[in-house]
Amino acid sequence: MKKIIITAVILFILLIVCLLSFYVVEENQYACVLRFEKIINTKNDAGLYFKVPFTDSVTIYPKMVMLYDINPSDVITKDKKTMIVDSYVLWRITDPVTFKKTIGSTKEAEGRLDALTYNFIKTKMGTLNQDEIINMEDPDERNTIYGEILKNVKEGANSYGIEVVDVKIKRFDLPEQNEEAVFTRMISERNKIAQAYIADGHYNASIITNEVDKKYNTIISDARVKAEKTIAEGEAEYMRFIAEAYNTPEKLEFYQFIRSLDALKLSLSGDNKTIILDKDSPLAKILLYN
Amino acid sequence: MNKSSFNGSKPIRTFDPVNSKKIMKWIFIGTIVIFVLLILATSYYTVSDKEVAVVTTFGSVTNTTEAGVHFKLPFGIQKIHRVNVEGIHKIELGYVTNEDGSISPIEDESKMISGDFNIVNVDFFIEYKIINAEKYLYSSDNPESVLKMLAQSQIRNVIGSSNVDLVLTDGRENIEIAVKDLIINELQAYDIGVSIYTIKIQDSDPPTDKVRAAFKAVETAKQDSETAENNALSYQEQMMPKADAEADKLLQNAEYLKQSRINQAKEEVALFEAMYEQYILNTEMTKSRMYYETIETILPGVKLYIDTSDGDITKVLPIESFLDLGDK
Repeated sequence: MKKIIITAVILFILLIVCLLSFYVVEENQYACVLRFEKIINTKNDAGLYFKVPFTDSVTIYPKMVMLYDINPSDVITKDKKTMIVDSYVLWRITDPVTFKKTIGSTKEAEGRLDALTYNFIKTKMGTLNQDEIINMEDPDERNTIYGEILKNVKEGANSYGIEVVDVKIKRFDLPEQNEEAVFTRMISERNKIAQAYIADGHYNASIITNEVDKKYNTIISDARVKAEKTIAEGEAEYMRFIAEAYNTPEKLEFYQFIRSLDALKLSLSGDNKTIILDKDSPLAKILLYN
Repeated sequence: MNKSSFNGSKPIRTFDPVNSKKIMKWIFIGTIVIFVLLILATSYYTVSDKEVAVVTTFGSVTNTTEAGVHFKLPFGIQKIHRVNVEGIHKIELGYVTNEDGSISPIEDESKMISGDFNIVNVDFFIEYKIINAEKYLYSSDNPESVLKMLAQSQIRNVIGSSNVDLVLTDGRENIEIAVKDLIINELQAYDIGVSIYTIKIQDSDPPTDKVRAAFKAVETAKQDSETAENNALSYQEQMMPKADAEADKLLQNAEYLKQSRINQAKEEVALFEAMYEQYILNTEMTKSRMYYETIETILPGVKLYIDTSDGDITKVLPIESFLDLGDK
């Protein structure tokens, strides 16, 4: 019975020792093996590894790309405009030994990257006018600017055993105290545009209306001319008919006779008319009968 | 109790080596069974058809399995990391949909400045897929946050190069395409196992009520201007037929006048021809008859004077008196 208990205890201790002798490195990890605080080995690949228990300790660092969101801060552009810049950094440890020696922890690394990135962003923005960033040109141009910042940050972080994968500005905005002025300007711009629309509309409308009036009057006036012509044609026809009808001297004479009688009738219709006859005229002879 | 007493009954024993051995045996078997069950329970895993499972053996990726039931080594020697590779995941930018379906705006994300220095609020809705489970798990700290920040950055690149009118109205689709293209480019370099699926502008608005009202006023002005032009066009629609109708009326009337004049000529000629036929039968007589007929019609009510002048002297005889007498 005692034997069994002793065996169990020994087995248990062996198990503990065994467990302390092995460690697992995950795919997204580096492991630094330290013997009495001195780095004796690093493991870059995932797997199960042996270490000497009690004397060796293992520090794990991330191998994956880390995201660090830098707090928003003010920068001043070349043309002395204050802008709020909010950026992020993607970074990863490439040399865990150097990283451990120079920085030691990811928390500390973030602090360094924060300072480094902010500095280079500030410097870069100080060389650019506001409208070199905010403009109507190719959106990819900003990525080129970020690329230049990245290059500098990358170089700066190299000595920490860190590779900076990317630096990008995710917000580039006006400070809040400038917003009111922008709103006022936006409103005035809109009012101007609205006025232009109204003026344009009325201008176009009056062009159409004037054109319509011109066409209308032209059509009517053309029609009048044509109508007068037609009426004149009628008159000409009338004349032609009449002229054709009295084409012999006899007819003409008879016509003149009829017309003169008609004229007489017309001129002597109504009251208070006076006729003076010569005494030799046929009518006078009849009247006087002598 | 007397051990040596013999009364035919079995003596009562407090410890029976046979029984205790049996119990130990059962405990042993029980332990083995539980152990085996434990092994069995941790030796298999299932993967749903939306997922793939990345299998690690002592931390190291050794396999990737698809939907179904699979074996694995027990006791945490092999671990399973399930990744939903079929699902379409979403990221909301500028707003957040709450549990109850209501929406809360996040102004820090949505407020941005356009290329022509206008401030706008733009909300985006992004969908992405996990295209590589292993990279999704191991190549970055937080793929979703990386994608979200990259999107924020590229959205501002594009909006910061766009005209405010395009952002607020008909340029949205182009903006979405431009943002997507930029994100795709950068994501390829990041290589974190995710791929953008869609990016949509959920909403784009002017920043304050006052500014919004000014933008609305432009829309109203646009409408008013169109109305003015439409009114002019309808005036045109109305006036052109009217002009044609009036012109037609003038021409028709002229035609009528022409025709009636011609008819008048014909009538006159016909009447004349008829009279002339009579006339040529006996010219003098017809003439006299016509003459006296005319006189008859005109003489009543006429003051008639006859000039009897001989040489210088002119005598005018009023015949009114005897005409009156003649009437009686």
